[in-house]
Amino acid sequence: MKRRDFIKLSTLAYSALMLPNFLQAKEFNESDINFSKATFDNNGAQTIIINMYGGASQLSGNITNIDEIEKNSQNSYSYFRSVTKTKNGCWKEAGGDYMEKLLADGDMTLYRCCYSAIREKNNNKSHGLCTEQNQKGSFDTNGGGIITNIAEILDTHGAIGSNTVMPFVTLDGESNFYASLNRPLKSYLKATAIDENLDNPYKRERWSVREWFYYTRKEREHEHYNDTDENGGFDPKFSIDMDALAQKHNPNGEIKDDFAKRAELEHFIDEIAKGETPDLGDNAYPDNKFSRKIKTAIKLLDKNPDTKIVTLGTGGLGGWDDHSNARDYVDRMEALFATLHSAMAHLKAIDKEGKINIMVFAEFGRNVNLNSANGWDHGNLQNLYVLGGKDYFNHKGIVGETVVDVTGKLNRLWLKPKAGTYWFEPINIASTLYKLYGIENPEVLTGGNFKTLNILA
Amino acid sequence: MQTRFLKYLSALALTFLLLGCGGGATSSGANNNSETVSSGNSNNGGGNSNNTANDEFSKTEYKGLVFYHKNLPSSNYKLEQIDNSTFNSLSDAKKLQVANKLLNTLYFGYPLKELKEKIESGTFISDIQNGLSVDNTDKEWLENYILNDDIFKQYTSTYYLPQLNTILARFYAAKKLDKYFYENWVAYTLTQTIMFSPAYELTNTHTPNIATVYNNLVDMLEVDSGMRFITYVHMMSEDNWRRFRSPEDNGREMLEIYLQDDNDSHVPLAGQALKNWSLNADGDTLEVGLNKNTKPIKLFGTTIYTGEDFYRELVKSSAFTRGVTNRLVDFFFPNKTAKEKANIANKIVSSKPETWQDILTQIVFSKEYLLNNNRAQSAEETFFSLAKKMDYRVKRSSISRFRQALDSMHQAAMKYKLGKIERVPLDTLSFAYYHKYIRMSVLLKHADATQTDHDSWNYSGWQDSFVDFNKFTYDSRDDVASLKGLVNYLFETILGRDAKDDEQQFFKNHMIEQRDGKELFKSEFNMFITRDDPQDEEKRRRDNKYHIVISVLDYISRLSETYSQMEVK
Repeated sequence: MKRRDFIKLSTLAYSALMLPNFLQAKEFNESDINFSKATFDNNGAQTIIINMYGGASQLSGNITNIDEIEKNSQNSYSYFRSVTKTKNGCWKEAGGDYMEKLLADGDMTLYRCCYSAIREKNNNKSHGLCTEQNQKGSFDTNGGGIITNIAEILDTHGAIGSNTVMPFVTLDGESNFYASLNRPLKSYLKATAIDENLDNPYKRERWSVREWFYYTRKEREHEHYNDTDENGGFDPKFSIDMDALAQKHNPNGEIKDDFAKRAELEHFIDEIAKGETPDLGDNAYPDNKFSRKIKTAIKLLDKNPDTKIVTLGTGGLGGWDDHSNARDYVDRMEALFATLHSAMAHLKAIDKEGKINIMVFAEFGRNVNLNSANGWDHGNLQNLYVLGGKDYFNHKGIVGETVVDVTGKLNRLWLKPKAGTYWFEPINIASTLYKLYGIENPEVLTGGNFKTLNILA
Repeated sequence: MQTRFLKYLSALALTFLLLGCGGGATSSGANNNSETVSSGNSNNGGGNSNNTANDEFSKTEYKGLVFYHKNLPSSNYKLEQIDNSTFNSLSDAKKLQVANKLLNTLYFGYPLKELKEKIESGTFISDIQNGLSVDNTDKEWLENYILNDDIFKQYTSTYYLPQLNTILARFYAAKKLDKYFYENWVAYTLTQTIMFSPAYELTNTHTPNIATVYNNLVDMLEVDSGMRFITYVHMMSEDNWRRFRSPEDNGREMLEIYLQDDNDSHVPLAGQALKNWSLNADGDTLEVGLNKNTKPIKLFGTTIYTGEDFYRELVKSSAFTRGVTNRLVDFFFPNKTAKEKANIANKIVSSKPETWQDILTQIVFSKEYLLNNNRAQSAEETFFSLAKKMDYRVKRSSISRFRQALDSMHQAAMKYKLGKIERVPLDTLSFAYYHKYIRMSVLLKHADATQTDHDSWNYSGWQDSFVDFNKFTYDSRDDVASLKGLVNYLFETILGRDAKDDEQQFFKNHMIEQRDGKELFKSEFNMFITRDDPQDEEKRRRDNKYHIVISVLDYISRLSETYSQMEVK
C-alpha cells in the first residue's frame, strides 16, 4: 500500500471514528423512532440473511490484488489447485463463474469493502464480539438484536401484530439477531425455528394409536372417535385442557412462549411442506443441506407473506474459519454460489425477485497471508453480497476497490479499501435493513451515523 | 500420592521432550537454565499453593507452574454457601426443591422416599458435599458394566460416537454420588464449555478426541491436578490443536478463551511464540519444529520466547483465574445480569481457587445458585436425574438415542467448536425436540416388566417399581385421597412440589365419578378394582394405575418446571 493511499484511508477511518459518540442503543425509546408505514408497505420486503459463521475470506469475490498478495504471502497460493481471475476479478474456481452470471443478470451487488475502521482502532478481530456487533447492528453490544428491534418497532406501529403468522423465522437456531432487550418481547414476535427438512417435532405424538383413557365415555361414543384426524378424528378435551392448565401455571418466559406456539407450528410446518419447488431446469439446486435450507426459506417466504426475515447459517457446507487447509474453502464457495444462483432462478420462477432479497456476510473477512498451516487468520475486510429485492434495491454490480497493506510483520498482510473508494462499516448493513423495513432514523438503533448502502434507492 | 505424582511428572516431562520446549522465559517463575521439571517454591501466579511447606504438593512445579492442589475447604469460599442449618430452616417444600436442584445439577437423583429420608437426616447438604470427596465406586465393575455390549450397545462405527456414548452411560449407570462421579461431572461440565470442548463437529477432529480430552481431565482431576496445570497440558495437546489450528488462531483463542483477552495486538505476539507449532494435514497431527522463536516477546507482564513459554505463562497469569471463573459463572448463571455475574465471579476469585472443584463446588453449593438462580435445565440434568428417580431402565441403544436427541435439541455434548455458548437453546425447534424427548422417551415410556430382550422397544422405560403401592400414600377405601396421594407423589418426584388445588381438581374431574352417592374411580382408573381371579385383578390394577400415571406425567411434561431450575422463593 502506498503511503499516500494510507493517509487518505486513515482520514476516512478517522472521520468514521469522529462520528457522534455512540448513542445508547440498548434501550431505545419508541418515541425516538421515525417509522414510515408507507416505506414498509411500498417495499414489501422479505429478507433472507445468510451468516457465514467463522469469517469467510473475501478472496472468492475479489482476487484483484492476487499478484501482490502472492508476492508477500508466507506460503504460496500455488497451494490451491488454481487461482483464476474472472472478468471482474472474482476467483473462478471459488464460485466466481456463478458470481459473474449473477452480476451480468443484474441480480447481485458485490460490495468489496465492508471494512471496520472502528475495530481496527479497537484491536478487535474476535469472532464472538464481531458477530455480536454485526447481529446487533451496533458497536454497543448491550442492545437488542437487529431483528428484535425491527420486530418491536413494526409491532408498535401496527405493521405486524398478533395475527401476523411467524414474522421472523430462523433455520439456524437463535443468534444475536434475536437478542432480547431488557424488556419482554411479545410471544408472537419471537422467532420461530424450523429446519430445512421441515421436520415437525411440534406434533404431539403418542406411543399407542390413541390414549383411549384420555377420552371421556361420551367422547368415545362419538361417531368419529375411531377416525384419523383427516377423517374427523379429534383430540380429547382432556388433552386440550391439560395444555391450558399447564400454560396457566407456566411462568412467563421462553418455554411458555414455545408451548404457546406449538399447536400453530404443527400445522404451519405441514402447510409449508406441501409447497412445491418449481422445475428450475439447468438451474436446479445442488443436492446439499445448505441448498435445502435456502429452498425451504424461499418456499416459506413465498407461501407466507407474513414472514419478513429468515436467518440461516451455511450449515451443510461447513464453517468459514479457515485457519488451516484452506483448499476446502474453494469448494465451499463454489457450492455456496451454485446455490445462490439457483435461489435467484427460484425467485424468478415464482416472480419474487422484486420482493425477496438475500444478504450474505460474515463477522469479518480474513487476513490474506497464506499462513504456515495453509490457511488465513482473521481479517477486517469482507465482502457483502446482496441479491434480489429488485423492487427497492438498485443493484450496482461490483462496488469498492482494495489495496494490499503489507506490514512486513509475520502474518500481517491485509486487504484494505483503496483511498476514495466506497467502503462502509458492517453496522451499515443494519442501517440498510432498518431503512428497508421503514425505520427512517436507524442511527437511534445503531448508535452512530452509519449510512444505508447505496443500493437502497 | 507418590505414584500419582510420578505419573504426571513423567507425563509432563515427556510432553516437554516431545515438544522440544522449555528454557525460554526469563522472568518470574521462568528459569532460563532449567530444561527439566524442577522442585521449589512458586513465586508467582502459577498457583498460590494452599498447602503447607512440607506438603509434597507445594514442591511440584515447573518454572513456577504448580502442578497439584488440594481443594479449598469450603470455609475458605467467599461466595456464601448454603449449610445444613440454612437448609434445615427452609420449609419442607423448599427443602425438596433445593435438594432436587442440587441433585439435578449433578446429574443425580434419588427415589422420593430415599430423598426425603436424606433430607430429614438434618445433614443433607454436608452429606452430599462430603460425599463428593470420598471414593465409593467400584470402578472396575462400573467400567466393565458400561462396556458390556449386552447392556449398552458398543458401536464400532464412528458415526455413533461410541466414546461419547460411554461417557453418558457412566452417568446413567453409576450408583453413588461420590468422588469418582463428581470428577466425571466436573470433566463433563468443562467439556461442555468453550474451554475444553473436543469439538467433534470439526473436520480436523476425530472421535477419539472426545475420549482423550475427557479421560485426561478425569485422570488429572483424580490425582489432584490444579486447574492451571490441567489447562496447560490441554493447550499443548493435539486435541486442542485440532480445534485451533494455526499459530495465530491457537494463540488468539487461548488468550480469548482463558483470559478473555480479545486485544488483537496480542495475537501476533502469541503467533510469534508459536511459530514452529502447526497442525500437519497428514493425520491432523500436531507438529512442533525446532525453529523456535528466539526473539524476546513481552506478554503477560513477562518475557517469553517459545510456545511452551506462552502456554505456561498464560495459565500463570493473574487474568487466568478471572477468565475461567467468568466462563463457569456464565455457564451456571446465564440469566443473571452482567453486574450480578461480576459480583459472583469476584467473590469466587477472591477465594483464590486453584482447582476446578474450588470453583464448581463453590457455585453449586452457594445460596446464590440454590436459592436465587433461575435457568433452563439441560437435558442431561433432566434425563439422568429422572432416570434415577423413576427407576428407568435403558435398552441397548437408549444411551446412543439420548446422545442423538441431544443433537436435535442443539444441546449436543462436546460437539461445538466453541462449546455450548447457550447451554439450553430455547428456540421453538430446539425446545420442541427437548420436550418431545422427555415426554415420549422418558415420562410416557413405561418398561414392560415381562420383556427380557435388551434390544426390544418395550424393554426401556420407567419400571413398575417407580409407582409401586409402597411408594405413595393411599387408602383403598378412599379413592379421592388415593388419587391425590399418587398425583402428589408424581409431582414431588419430578418437580419437587405438590400438585396445586386446580391441578388436583383437574385429574379428579377426569378420573373420579359419582356412583352410589360416593366419589369413586371411573373403571379405567380404578387401581383398587377387584376381580375373582387374583392374576386378572393384579393386571387390571396395574393397568389402571398406569392410566393415571401416564395422564399425570403427560401433564407434567407440559410444565416449564420440568425443564427449568426455578428460583426458590
